[in-house]
Amino acid sequence: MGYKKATCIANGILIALAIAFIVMALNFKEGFVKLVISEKYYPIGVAGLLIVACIISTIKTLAGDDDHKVEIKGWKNILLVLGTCIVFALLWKYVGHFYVIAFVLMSGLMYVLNPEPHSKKKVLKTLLTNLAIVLVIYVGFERLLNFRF
Amino acid sequence: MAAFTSFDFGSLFSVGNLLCLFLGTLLGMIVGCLPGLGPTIGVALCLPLTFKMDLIPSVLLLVAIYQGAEYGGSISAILLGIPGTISASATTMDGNPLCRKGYPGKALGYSLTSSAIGGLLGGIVLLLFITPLSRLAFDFLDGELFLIAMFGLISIVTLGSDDVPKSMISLLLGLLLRTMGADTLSGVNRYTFGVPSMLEGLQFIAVITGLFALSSVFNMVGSENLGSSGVSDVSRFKVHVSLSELREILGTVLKSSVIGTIMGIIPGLGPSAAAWMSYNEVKRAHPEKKFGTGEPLGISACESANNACVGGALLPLLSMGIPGSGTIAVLATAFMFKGIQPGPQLLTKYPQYVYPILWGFLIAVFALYIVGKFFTSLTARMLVAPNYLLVVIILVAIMIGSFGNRNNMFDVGVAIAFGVVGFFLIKLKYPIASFLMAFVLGDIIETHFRRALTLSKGSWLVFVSRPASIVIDLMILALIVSSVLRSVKAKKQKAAAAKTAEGGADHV
Repeated sequence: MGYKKATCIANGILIALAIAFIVMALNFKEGFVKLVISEKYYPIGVAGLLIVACIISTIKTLAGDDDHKVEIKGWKNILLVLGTCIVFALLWKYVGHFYVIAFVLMSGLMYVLNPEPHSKKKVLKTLLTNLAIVLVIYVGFERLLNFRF
Repeated sequence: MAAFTSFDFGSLFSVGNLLCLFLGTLLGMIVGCLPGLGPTIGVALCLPLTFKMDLIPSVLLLVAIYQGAEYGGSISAILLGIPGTISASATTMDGNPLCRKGYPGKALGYSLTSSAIGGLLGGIVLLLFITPLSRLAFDFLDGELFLIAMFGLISIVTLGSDDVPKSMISLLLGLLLRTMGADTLSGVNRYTFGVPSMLEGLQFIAVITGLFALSSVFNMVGSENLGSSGVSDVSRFKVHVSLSELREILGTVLKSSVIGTIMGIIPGLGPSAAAWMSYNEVKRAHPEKKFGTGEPLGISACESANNACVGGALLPLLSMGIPGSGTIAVLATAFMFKGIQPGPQLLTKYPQYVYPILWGFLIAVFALYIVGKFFTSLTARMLVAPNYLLVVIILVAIMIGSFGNRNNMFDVGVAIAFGVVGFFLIKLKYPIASFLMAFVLGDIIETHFRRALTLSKGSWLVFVSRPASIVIDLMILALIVSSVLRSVKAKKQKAAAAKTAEGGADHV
């Protein structure tokens, strides 16, 4: 996709977001404290300015020379990392066992991202590295800093 | 002056504080030398370490990371020709050629010595000017405090980016998203969607780690060679500069440190601009030297400037509550986690924290020199670490960091969402530093703005009625006018260049 088109789409999304914020602000419940500038006017003002800035940016981008291709290189890897993060968060929330999840998912991710061909050495290296990471987290965060996962 | 020195210096030298300084410096050097990371991500990733720590060691750790990262950026710039941080890009110009001539240790020695002197000068300026600046800001009312914060934001928009409308969008988005949660003045819930976790709004740490660290992970797995960082051998070297060599660079180092400190104080400029400005200045001052071929003055100018920037950037934060750079904005959250708002009140309300932090800053500079002297070679070995390993370590750090602040899984989701948002913002050149500054300052901007108007019964004259507010208004106006003039000048230059090129083509 071209830079101009991508910027227009992004600005369009931001304008929609700003409008949604304005509409929601108009429906805020009244507070007990009456202020000259109530809780709704500031976000409405900022959202209004955001719409104006988006329009100016769109015009400036369209009038400019820059229309390089916006590429998302390695999108499969990006989706893999994003998916791993989401699965990590869901499993952690609904299953628990942070250390087990971290070890399993991060080992899997590291194995896939490592471009070396499959070998026993690669598997062993991946597992040992992740075991070390999990151990460092346990000692550093749980034992020394009193974190509870 | 009494409070300046009348605290227990011994407590500053506790094992915990010293450990934070030395460990922070080493961590900073590592994140700084790894291209794609840098000080902001380093400070953001290490914020979770500070959750259970006292304020002083927390801030010392983060300051040491910042200092260490500014020097660390020069390690890969010199050894590989790839700057580890944006601010080290100017160092590449002379650092890498000197390394290729067979003097990596010498090049790193110039970098380390200049970084330490620059950091020291920045620290001294911080120590000397914090009290007068805080006193000045102490008399400010809500209207002036709002204007000062606006000055910081407008500086970021006009000076920190080439694309002003996009920078403005990032900034306004930051301000808008900061309004989420219970309103601090009226208690009304805003954009909470009935989610209890949203009552306190979006958490800094989740937003910061997502926006900076996760988006950089996406960039790493998307565009870089995952198998290795392209380095197979980092040879042994001794980081060393002799006294006579130091004498040769001292004048440049001092001048560049002054430039760096000033650039650090002005929000929006930061270490990168400081390094380039100092590099250009040293080139102008020494036309007889062959810059770009391994000239030590070139390395010294850049490195002293970007480290002096750290102290400079802390000054507006500690005295007025305005972070001087994106990294300092992240650092400011360490204060907020402890329930302390940096600003004019800081010095009077919490002197027990401020002075040890200031003196600790100076010790951090010595820590930088010592750690840099003995561990640069070791840090350089991190350059051979494969990126797939870094990805896994950073991801785990993001998960822990976003969860650890209040043990809430909702924040992990926020970090992931902001990682995606940050990735696209960076791809489409929306400056995320503007977003970050606005997000950090959003709350105080809204509070001072609404309180000022409430106290003046809705009269907008409150923003122009006092001498202080008029001065700040004029400063804002000057910023805007200079930005417009710069833009017009750039357009004229571009048109002239196009005309010349056209003429040349016709001639051919």
